[in-house]
Amino acid sequence: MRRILYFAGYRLLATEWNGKQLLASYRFEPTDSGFSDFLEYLEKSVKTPAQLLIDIIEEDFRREVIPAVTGSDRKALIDRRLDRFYREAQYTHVESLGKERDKTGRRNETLLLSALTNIEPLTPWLDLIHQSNTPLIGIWSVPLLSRSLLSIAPKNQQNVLIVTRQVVSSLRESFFRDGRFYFSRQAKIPLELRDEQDLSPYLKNIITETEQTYRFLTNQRIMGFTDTLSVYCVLDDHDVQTATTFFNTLQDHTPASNDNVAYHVVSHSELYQSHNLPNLESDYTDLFYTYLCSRLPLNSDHYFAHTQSSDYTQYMVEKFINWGTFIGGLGLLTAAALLWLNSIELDQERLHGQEQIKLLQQSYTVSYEGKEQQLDRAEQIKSSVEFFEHIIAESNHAPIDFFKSLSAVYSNLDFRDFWLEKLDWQALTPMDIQRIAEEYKTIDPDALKNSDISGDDDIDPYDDYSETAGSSDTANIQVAVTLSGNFDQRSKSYTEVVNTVRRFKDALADIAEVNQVYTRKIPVDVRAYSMFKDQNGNNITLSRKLSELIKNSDYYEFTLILNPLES
Amino acid sequence: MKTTLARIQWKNHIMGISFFLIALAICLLAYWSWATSSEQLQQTNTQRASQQAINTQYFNAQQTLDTYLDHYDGLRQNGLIAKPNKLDWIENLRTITQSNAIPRVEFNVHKQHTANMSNDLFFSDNFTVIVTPMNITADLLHEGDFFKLYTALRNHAAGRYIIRNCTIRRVDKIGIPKEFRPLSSNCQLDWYNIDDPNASESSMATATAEAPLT
Repeated sequence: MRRILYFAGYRLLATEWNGKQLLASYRFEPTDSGFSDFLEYLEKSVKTPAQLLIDIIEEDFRREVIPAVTGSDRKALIDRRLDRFYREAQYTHVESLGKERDKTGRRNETLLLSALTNIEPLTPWLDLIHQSNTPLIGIWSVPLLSRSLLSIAPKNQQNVLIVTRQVVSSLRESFFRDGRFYFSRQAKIPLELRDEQDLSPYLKNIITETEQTYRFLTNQRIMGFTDTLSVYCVLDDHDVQTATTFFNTLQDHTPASNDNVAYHVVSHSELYQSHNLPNLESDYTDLFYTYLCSRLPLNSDHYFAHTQSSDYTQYMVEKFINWGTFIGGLGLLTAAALLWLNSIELDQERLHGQEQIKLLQQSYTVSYEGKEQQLDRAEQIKSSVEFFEHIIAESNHAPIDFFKSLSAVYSNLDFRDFWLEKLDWQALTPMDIQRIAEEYKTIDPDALKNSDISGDDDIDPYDDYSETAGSSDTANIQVAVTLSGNFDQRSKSYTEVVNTVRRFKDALADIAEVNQVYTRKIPVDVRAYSMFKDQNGNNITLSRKLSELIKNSDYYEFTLILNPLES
Repeated sequence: MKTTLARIQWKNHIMGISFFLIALAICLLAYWSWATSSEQLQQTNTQRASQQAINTQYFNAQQTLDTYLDHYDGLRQNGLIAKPNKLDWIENLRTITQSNAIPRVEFNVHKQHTANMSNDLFFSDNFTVIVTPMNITADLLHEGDFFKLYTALRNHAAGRYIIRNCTIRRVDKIGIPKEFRPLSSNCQLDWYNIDDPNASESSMATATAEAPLT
């Protein structure tokens, strides 16, 4: 609910608005009983802050042009103007009418200064408001609110004068140029016209006042002599027809000087409809202005006073304490209820968990109690079994199992000249296998530079060592079998010997169990370099001339690396 | 602000402030109750998880035993999981030599040692593996003798061996044609055993595993 206290210089109208609905309105006369009633109203009605809306003749407006500056400079300029024109005024208001360049190109700002120059008639009402501890939010001005009525005029009209009547005793004329508020004046209605049934004298009075305003505007060069002033008179619905006829007749029979003033009549109903407001029970627009005031934000007041602000602040603080303690308390109680409910849920969950623990413990007692020692050894037992499964599998990897495959090669008629003298069997770790491959590398620096050690099943035994070196990436135990013996090369050419040895090596490599064949010594060895270890593990570097190699060429020696069992 | 606070009629707010304070006290009490319940539940959950983990661990252990225990007992009975039975090995060696009429077999059993990574082909960090090296030097008439000797030893001796290295060569004998020259072999065998002091207790755990409660 919004409480608007409307003061038009004499009596005070109190209205209570809830949105677009007028809840109540009370009028108080400036008499002892009126003051008493007003105080009683404030004290006994719902404690709610009030907005004061004033429409008094002692409100003065000035337009001032200042250089377009900002910040503290602007404030200093404004303070200086206020001090010059309204030094004694307690209530002042400043608003900008816009910025534009003058003829010299300087950018200026036009200000509207206003002040309540005499608040004596208002003082007893303010005292009562204060006495009743009614928080006063601020003071609003009817002339400054009248810009809300500008919507009744078409937008393309440059000079608009809106004439309204809020009380029986006066008219309010508000002038707008290019949609901006310029000034407003209150004109008294002569006593003899106030209760006159005939509307014509009142309308004539409007024309008289309008003429004065028109002359003022042209004399002040606010509008040009040839500019048209559009006057919008807001009248009660039942006066509209009469007024329209009157103004039409007037425009047909007036002197030439009034050609520049065009009169338009707007009814209260039209005004209310433009704001989607239901009809208000008043002959004047006072209630409508209180409605406009009730729709404004609370911090948009025109005249600010510290005492009012303090009252309102106190009101807001107390309101905050009231609502804060209430809402806070409710929130805390809600939180407490939720926490308690959650506690109950947690307790139920805990009880369920404890039952599960009991079941688990029972299961443990039945199945495992007393057997922990044996059960703890389960992994060791498993590892032991797996260890021996591995040993048993590897123990099948023995010379006796390889004899059959080897016999098939030696019994081949093509290799009848190879005689096996000695077979060496060695079970080796992957590290040993790698060592054998490393030993088999060439010592030729150029060859080392140009080739990596890589396995190759189709290695020619007569290639240089660098090209025949191999490696195994198996992680399991592998067996190296070294076959040595003599090759009977009688009545064979070197080429025949070489070809037979190549085929023999291929046959060895073709045995299913064989992973790699290294040629260690061969008949008619034409390789450039070799490096082996002797029986004591010392490196032996052989660099022999071809004739020497050929001379001692009956002996052969191959090392076979067998596949690991898994592969 | 100071003035505003000073002007506030606090007596008008006694009800509201009292209501707020009582609500605050109730809320604190409720929070304390909730925190206690929450902590107790956490303890219960921890205890349950712990018991569940133990049950699952023993369930898995029981399943492992069900799978491996028979094998384990078999290995134990065959002398693999036991102290090295050297007497059995050499007894078998002599029997095999005699029954197959192998001309000469000599052996040398070396001192047993615990398997380690640097010297032995197999080792374990989980249990003690005992390696007993043995050298067998044999004169053989032909390859068949070698086959018979080592196959019989593998099948009958109480233990398992890996032939670490072995050299088989033809023996030069004057007057005997190359094709009929006898063989001699010199092999090093590693006998493997696991020393398990608790081996005799293992067969006690024969209960059937039941699924753990979850």
